[in-house]
Amino acid sequence: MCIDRILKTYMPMTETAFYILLSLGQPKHGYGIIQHVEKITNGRIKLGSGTVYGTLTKMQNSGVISVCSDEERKTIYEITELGKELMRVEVKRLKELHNNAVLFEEDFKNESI
Amino acid sequence: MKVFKPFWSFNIEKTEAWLDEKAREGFELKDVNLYTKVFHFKDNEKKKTTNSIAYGINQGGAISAALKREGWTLLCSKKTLFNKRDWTFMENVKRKEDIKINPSREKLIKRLSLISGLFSAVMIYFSIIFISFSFLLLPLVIQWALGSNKVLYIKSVAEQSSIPKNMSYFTSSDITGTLKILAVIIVLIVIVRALEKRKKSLKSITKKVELLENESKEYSDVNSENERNSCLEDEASFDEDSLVVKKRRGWWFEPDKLEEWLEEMESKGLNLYKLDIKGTKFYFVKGRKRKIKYIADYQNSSDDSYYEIYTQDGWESVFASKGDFLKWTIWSKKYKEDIPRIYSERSDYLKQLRKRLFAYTCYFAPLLGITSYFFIKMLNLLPGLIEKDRFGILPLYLFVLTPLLIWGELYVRVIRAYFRAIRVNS
Repeated sequence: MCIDRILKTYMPMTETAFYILLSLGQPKHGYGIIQHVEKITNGRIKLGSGTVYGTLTKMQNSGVISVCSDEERKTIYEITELGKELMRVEVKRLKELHNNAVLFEEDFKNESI
Repeated sequence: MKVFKPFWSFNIEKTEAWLDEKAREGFELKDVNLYTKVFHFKDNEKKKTTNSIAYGINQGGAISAALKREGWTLLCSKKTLFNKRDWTFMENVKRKEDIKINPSREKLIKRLSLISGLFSAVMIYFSIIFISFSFLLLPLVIQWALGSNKVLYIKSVAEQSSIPKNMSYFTSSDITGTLKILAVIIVLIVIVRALEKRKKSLKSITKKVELLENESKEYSDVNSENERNSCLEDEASFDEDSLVVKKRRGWWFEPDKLEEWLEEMESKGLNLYKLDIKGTKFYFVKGRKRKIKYIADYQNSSDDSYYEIYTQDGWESVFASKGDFLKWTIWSKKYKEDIPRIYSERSDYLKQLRKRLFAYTCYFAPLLGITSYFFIKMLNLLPGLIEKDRFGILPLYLFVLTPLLIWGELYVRVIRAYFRAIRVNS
């Protein structure tokens, strides 16, 4: 798939998709992704196996991740160049959101404190 | 140098070994023509390389980073028709035993499953024809062989015109036709068995299952490990009294009811031990009350990574339907406080429900369509039949009405289960 179709399909990314692709910046097993996301969100997001399996299948079909087998014949997933391009666009979008959120944070401050 | 290898894609391991041999002889793979099945080699120095053939999603002909790091280099990459998949031929200077990361075999296995499935479907089609033919033909043949004078054996069609009215007959072309169909069926069975054997060898099942079982022990709670050990002790001392068997057919039409029922049994102290192969008998062991979540999961197509991911997450497979397609698996997981889920996002949960409903609709629609069509046709005939006082046609009505009602009722249950599931908060 070319980058335009990928952007159309995935943008804006759901938290699940974003965190899964983020974790795959380094090669991991399926369960490694679940553990990693739980750790970096401080337990807030505990991905379900069905969600992970479905998302990984979809990402593999779009070409944003690659699959290999390790010595024990278990599957390893990793982000591809196409996936990295998607993440660069998404990170840019998130940075814009974050900067504006911090900029206008005052408007939403709790007055009663 | 060119070599013609028409069936190379059906025995991947053999083809890879052959490529290794060619490399040792000093021939490096230059190109493969997927349509003419011709392998093109160029002269090179003699190399001891390990060759691997990958079948996967169209990656634009590139090898993934992980593979490159392991020393794999691209020989050639060919896109298949419709551009969805590609065949990638790669080599590695390391010896096979030393290579830690290999291309995934999943898509290859799926491809074999699909082809095997298609051949099986054709085989079933011919088997139905064969059985219906034999059903009509066999009684006649037996009667003729026993010397009945009511049955004629005719050599050719030309003699048909001279048959007396009360005689049944069969021709030699009926016999040869039936035998031809049988021959086709046998050939198909041989092909399907060969494909399944190739699939099994690609999967290397035993090693993987062992490792997965060890994995699920690793990842689960220490407490549940002790529970499982005590369960295994109980297993050894099974006697008639502690085993309870319950029959439950068609639970796959209403999986939510099955899940509730299993959890109810557990709360009564009946621990689910296993199911029979067909998935209709449930074996329970009298034990302690357990907090277990059961989920009946449907997948249009599943593969090894489906099982990997779920078992690594601590789910145990109590039952799995045969085959890779239209797969039903019953998963279980013990818990303490939070009820475990397999879909953490509601949109994924809903998507699975829709896929399931769609699959069932594809299954029931033609069945209901055909029987309704016949039913309506017969309805049109009814007034005429009552006039002629031909009530002998009534059994035929039941013959059409019964499947219509049975299938219709099942499909209604499927739809109701779907709407129930949508309303669930999980």
